Amino acid sequence: MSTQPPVLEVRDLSVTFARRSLLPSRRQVSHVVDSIDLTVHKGRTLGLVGESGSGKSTTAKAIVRLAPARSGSVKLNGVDLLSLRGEELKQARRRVQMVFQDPYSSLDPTMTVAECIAEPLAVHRIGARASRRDTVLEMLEQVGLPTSMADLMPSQLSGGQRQRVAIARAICLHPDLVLCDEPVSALDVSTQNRILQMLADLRSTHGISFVLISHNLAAVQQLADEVAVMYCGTIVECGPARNVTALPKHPYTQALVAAVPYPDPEVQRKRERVVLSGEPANPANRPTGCVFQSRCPQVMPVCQTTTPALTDDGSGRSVACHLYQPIVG
Amino acid sequence: MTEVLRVDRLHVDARVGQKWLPVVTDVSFAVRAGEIMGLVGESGSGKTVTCLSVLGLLPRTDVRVRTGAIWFHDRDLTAISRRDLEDVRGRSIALIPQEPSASLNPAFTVGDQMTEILRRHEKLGRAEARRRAVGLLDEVGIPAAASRLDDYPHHFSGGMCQRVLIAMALACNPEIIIADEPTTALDVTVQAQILSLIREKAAQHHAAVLLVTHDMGVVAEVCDRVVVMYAGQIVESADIVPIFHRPRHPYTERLLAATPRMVQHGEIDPPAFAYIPGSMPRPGTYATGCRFGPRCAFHEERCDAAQVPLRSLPEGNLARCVRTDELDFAETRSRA
Amino acid sequence: MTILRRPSVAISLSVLGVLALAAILAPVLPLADPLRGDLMRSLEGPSAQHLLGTDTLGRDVLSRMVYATRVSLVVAAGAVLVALLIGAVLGMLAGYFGGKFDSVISFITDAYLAFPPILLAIAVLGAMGRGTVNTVGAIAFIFVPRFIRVARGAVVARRGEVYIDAAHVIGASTSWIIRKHVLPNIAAPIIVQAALAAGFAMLAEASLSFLGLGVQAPAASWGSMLGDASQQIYRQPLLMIWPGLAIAVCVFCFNLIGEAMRDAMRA
Repeated sequence: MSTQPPVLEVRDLSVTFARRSLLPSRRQVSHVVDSIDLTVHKGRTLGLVGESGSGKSTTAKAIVRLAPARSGSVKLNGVDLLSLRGEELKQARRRVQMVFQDPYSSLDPTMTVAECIAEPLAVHRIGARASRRDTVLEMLEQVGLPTSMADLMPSQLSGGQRQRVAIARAICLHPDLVLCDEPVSALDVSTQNRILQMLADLRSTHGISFVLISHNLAAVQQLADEVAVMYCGTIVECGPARNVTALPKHPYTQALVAAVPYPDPEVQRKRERVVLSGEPANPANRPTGCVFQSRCPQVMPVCQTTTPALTDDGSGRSVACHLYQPIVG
Repeated sequence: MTEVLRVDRLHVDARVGQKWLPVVTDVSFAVRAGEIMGLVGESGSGKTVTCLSVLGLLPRTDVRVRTGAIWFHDRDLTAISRRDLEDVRGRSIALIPQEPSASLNPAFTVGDQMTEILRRHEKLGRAEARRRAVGLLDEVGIPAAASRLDDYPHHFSGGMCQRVLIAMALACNPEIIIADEPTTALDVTVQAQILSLIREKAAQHHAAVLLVTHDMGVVAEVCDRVVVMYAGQIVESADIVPIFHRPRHPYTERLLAATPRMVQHGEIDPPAFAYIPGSMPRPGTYATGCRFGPRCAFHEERCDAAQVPLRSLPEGNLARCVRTDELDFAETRSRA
Repeated sequence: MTILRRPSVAISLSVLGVLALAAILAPVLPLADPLRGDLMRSLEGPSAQHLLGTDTLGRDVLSRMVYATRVSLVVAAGAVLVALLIGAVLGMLAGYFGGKFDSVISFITDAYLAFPPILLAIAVLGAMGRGTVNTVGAIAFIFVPRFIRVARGAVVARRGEVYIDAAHVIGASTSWIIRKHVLPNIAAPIIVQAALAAGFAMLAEASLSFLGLGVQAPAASWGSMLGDASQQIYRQPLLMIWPGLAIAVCVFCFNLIGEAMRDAMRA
């Protein structure tokens, strides 16, 4: 596996948003994503977890070039997407697709289901009209929808059905990588797992790699091979999913794990929990030192002065926290 | 314990095109003083319509209560005048809405919106209302409450907006708070804070809570009793522990199995992807027998014979299933 | 199309349909020559020979009314079409690309809308000269900013939609996105605006022609007929009724249709 370049290799990616103003004092630059690294290998799934405002969605948007990256590289099969223009970029886009959070707004209300699914084929001029129709029907089958739905409008479908249409659209170009931004959080509980199961099936049948973005660790743990936890634009912990979710090291990851309620009142009410107080740090107002210091239950003096580096503990797991830093000097 | 609210044989119809179709069928339940009652269901279950009926906030042209009563103490909320209802709604029944950021008027400061309630329902003067508002914001954990009173809603995060709305709900010391999916739009980390805040404040103010949600994890965290709805009907109703440990309706059991949870210590594999095949039937397409029948793993011919009644079980809970005594969910769990 | 089931829309459409049909079929209908007059029989009341009477020059009013329908409808429709094309394109580009282009367009539009429309049209005709074609141009000119506004507003509201992002991700070009995703989604408000504008354009044409600035003799529009008739208001008051009625009915029909479409869009 290591001989092949990873499907996705993000290095040192930064995204900033500038607030413009006539008054110099009101101008500011927020580091929404601050030099992060991510790697996804073929057929693997990376879970990207964090609260709203952590920069996880912006990271995904920067990867597909919906948000402008300030610096860094996003290599897809070894080719840097950020350096491509025009036709080259258009061709590269075939290899990476995205599924959005809200299936009610990600499908154009004026198009039929078949038109939505076939649009990527039409944009890339793949196949004649009739063969596109066949592809649409095949895709519908793959995502478990009846082919009779091809000519319905999105408004006639339920949320779960729409999300499946969005997934069919994302996979019809046979991409190498699909970014899923909160793909199930707008859906009913009983359909969430069905969508996740479908993603798992697509991964095994097509060898597609996924980046699964969520604010809820429970939603990614079943599918993810690796997990990266983001806070205020930086990655605070990453590693094999099973390790990270079972034995979280960073106090923020511990809080994320603790925040997921356990569906048994007796267990749930007896749990010892790290309930985070306060609000996520504002990327426009990043503190010196550790980004998590204002909410960390184990904050130390060093956290207010020095930013902890993301350090590998030797088992493939990296944590950015002074609690785990080797003592220097 | 005294009952604060009793929904009695409620039937609600909604207009679909030219036809009126039932969306809530024969729903009865009571909320007792001081308890947190969970009203659980997915979209299309009728839980939102039920809670809007209690609040008298149904869009009258499209949804109407056909029969039934909603007793708040000894007054039937479906039969009293609009004026009286508005008075009850502001003062004795409060709402914590689903979309915190959309539920505050962006054109007015948080202080304006809070003092308006206090001045209208509590007949307080301007200065006194402001003082109370600061106290309430402080109580729900908003730091530097006095200085935030003059901020506009967009200066608050989603979690902070929800705290403001909880403060507004508490403003007139209501007897019952209806919380409509209060944490669905929030991060899981903020969800935990908001839920414990609701639980704590309800206890302090001796208010009962009707918590509407689709998430059994939320229910496990705060509720005392649960009513589960499916396709406009109650399918199961029980105390909190029994419903989690021994669900008596297949839908409840599947809903529990589908609830996302973290791997526990000692578990080797993450929980399997449990889900319910098919989708919630739309109004007008309900099965004649058991409405969950078409999606149920335990479905038999006799399930379709006639409407299934909500039966009282020896443990004191209710379930709408003809096979409830013979079901063994352990088997489906291992199969899934 | 449930909107067609509304009686107000059905009736309005039938009325306009009949008028349009009459305008198209005018040469083959059994009508008198609208230009041939008989001075001996000027300003006659309705009779079997001249159903609506005759005008100052003794021309058949019914025939002139039917031919005037052609002019009135064509001028109104032409003006709206021109304004729609220019306004929708400018508004869409301003809304989609934003930035400086949008600022400039919006500023001009706002300044433009500060003037009373009829005055603006009079000024344009004053500069360009009278005549039917110029009337179309002048009326189109006053409607351009309205269409810019509507199109820009609709595009700005859609620009943030996730399906636009989704189209970028699959590699769609800007022109693809505008054609496939922006246009179909803003068509409805633009069509509504067009229906409402058609009524007003008809009124504007009538006003201009009434003032003698619009359609020039010997051609006639309802407005110019109304203008001519107003000269004879004491000798033959009936003469003013016909064009006045036609204008009122037409404007009313266009407005009813526009309002109904707007309601349908909101629902």
